Amino acid sequence: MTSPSENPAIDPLLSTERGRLPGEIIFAFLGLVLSLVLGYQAWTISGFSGLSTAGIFPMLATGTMVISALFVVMGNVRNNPEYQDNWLTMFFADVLAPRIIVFAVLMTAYLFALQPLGFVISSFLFLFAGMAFLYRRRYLMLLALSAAAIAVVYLLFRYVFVVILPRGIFL
Amino acid sequence: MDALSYFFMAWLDPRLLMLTAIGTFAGIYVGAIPGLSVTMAASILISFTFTWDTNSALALIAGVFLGGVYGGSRTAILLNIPGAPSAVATALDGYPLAQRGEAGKAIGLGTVMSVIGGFVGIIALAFAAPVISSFALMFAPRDYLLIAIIGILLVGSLASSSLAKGIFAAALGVVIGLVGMDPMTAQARFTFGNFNLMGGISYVAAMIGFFGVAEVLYQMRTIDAASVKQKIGRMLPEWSLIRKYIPLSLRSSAIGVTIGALPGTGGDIASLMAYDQAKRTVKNPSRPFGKGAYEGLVAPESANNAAVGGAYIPMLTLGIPGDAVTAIIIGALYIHGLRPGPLLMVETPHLFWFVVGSLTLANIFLLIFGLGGIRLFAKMVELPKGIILPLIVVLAVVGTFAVQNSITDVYWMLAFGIVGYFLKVYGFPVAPIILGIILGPLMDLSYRRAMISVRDDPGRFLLEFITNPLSLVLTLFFLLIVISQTPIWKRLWQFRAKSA
Repeated sequence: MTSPSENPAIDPLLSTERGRLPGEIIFAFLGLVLSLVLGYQAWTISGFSGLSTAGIFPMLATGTMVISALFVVMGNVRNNPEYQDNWLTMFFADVLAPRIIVFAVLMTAYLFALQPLGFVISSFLFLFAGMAFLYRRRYLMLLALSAAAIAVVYLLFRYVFVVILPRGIFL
Repeated sequence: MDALSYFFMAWLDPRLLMLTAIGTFAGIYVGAIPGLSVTMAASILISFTFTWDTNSALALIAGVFLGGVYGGSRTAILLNIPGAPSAVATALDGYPLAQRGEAGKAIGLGTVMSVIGGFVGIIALAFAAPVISSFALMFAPRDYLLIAIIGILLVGSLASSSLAKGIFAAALGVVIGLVGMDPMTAQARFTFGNFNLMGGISYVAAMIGFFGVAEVLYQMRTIDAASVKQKIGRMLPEWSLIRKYIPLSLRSSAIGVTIGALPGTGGDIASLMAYDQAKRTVKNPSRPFGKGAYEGLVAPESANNAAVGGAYIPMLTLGIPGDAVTAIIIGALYIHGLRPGPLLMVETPHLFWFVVGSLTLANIFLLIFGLGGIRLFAKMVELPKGIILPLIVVLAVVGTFAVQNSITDVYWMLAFGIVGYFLKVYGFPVAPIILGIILGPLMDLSYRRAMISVRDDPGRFLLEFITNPLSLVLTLFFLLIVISQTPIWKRLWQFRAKSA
């Protein structure tokens, strides 16, 4: 097994020096745009009307964001790309692989199904779909495992920890 | 003599003994479930005690708090998902240790060091409470501000790959923490006119999103290469290993107690500061820090449990919460008719000694359950990634929803999870975001109170940082951290090394 820490391409968080990843400049630039938008929002709170107003600390925080985001963008521009092919092809092959997109869509569908279907049914469907998509074998076992896991989670949280769980049309 | 009898009350009463054991066990396992924080474990379990007598409630609370802080480290080591903010630093070296097949040893060593830290914290609570509480009472708003900035700076320095990314993450966290209505003027901040944002963004949703969901998505990248399966080897750490790290554990525990005793700070900052201190002072670690150094595990694990004893000091003597869990406990004490504060120790000293005794007992249970349940717990993570990752998502949903029964929080969790995934891929650390969310509102209030106290005079504001002895010490500490992040510091060390 190759641990992420041994492979900088897999785990850039632990690597100290690496090339630019596909989409990294765009992400850093989006961070800068977000900082500017939030900075403007902070200014609209109370402007520069005093040193102890509600907007002064938000302005300090967003100002810090803008400056650090500029450094990040500049660092990325200076850095050489780690990939050889077209960046978009590499982006969807490495950073946002189809598997990640499908699982993120499954998660989103699950969360939006929580209210209409309720916790039990939506969680069971998500668990089975998620496990079947990722594990891709022994489907009957996965079906039983999903049902058992939901039963344990529901009973534990609903009756032992008395947590209220989303209730839909059935459960 | 009276103090001694109250100290042993929970030890000799079978009911109280059982409640302390249940509290510790539940704290460990709820705290260890990915996405369920010790804050949530405490708030849910403590809610059962409102109809109980005070002693029963205090016994359970002591167990939940100590167990929950410790339990958070389990998932930090095995899944790289801290179960509590106090376990963020544990993941830095605990997870690489698990990846090297030393998960059992890491948990075993972490357990023993947590227990040592716990005892140091309890001893400090018992003997130094009056001294530390009078010290903490002298703190002015500017001192709170300095402590919070120091905490943020320390986390920024932990993001070793890029300081700019660490600072960006921390500032983003501060902004997230400031969303909602300003508590001083009721002005809306960063709400974009949306009424749902007036109450702010749930900290739990952010924590579970950034640490839980983002990690699930990140794991997808290596799902074929490896499973989450960690090899659990020897559970009991060798005596030689424990003996070797006792001095570091005691040093880290001292940091934990001191930081834990400062109002507004808790196990999260204590463990990060202890980790940073170990990183700076240990000359020859077993492995480089961040790659599975035992020192990187011993320091935060000792400190965060030592901080529990420390957090009780301002809570019981001043009525000020040390962190989120002690804030919940203070609420529970009020419901039980108690008034935490300076008069508590004068009017009801027996209660103080009962708390000290319960914490000591809970610490012993921690050792038993911690070392006894490693294999059982490890079985949970021996499941293939394809099975465990969807399960983590379901638990993350339950954990987020349960705090406020809010579906909006669950959507926030997803959004933070997706953003957190990209942040992780592109090398932005997520721990400073969480610290920024916690400390942002505290920094904002402290800054404004300090500024109001000098009538918006910037000259006087700055002058007070150097004219007040306590503020001066903190300012010097702050400057030391800033300088240590610059090339000047590196050159100074190189010069010193050459001279030697």
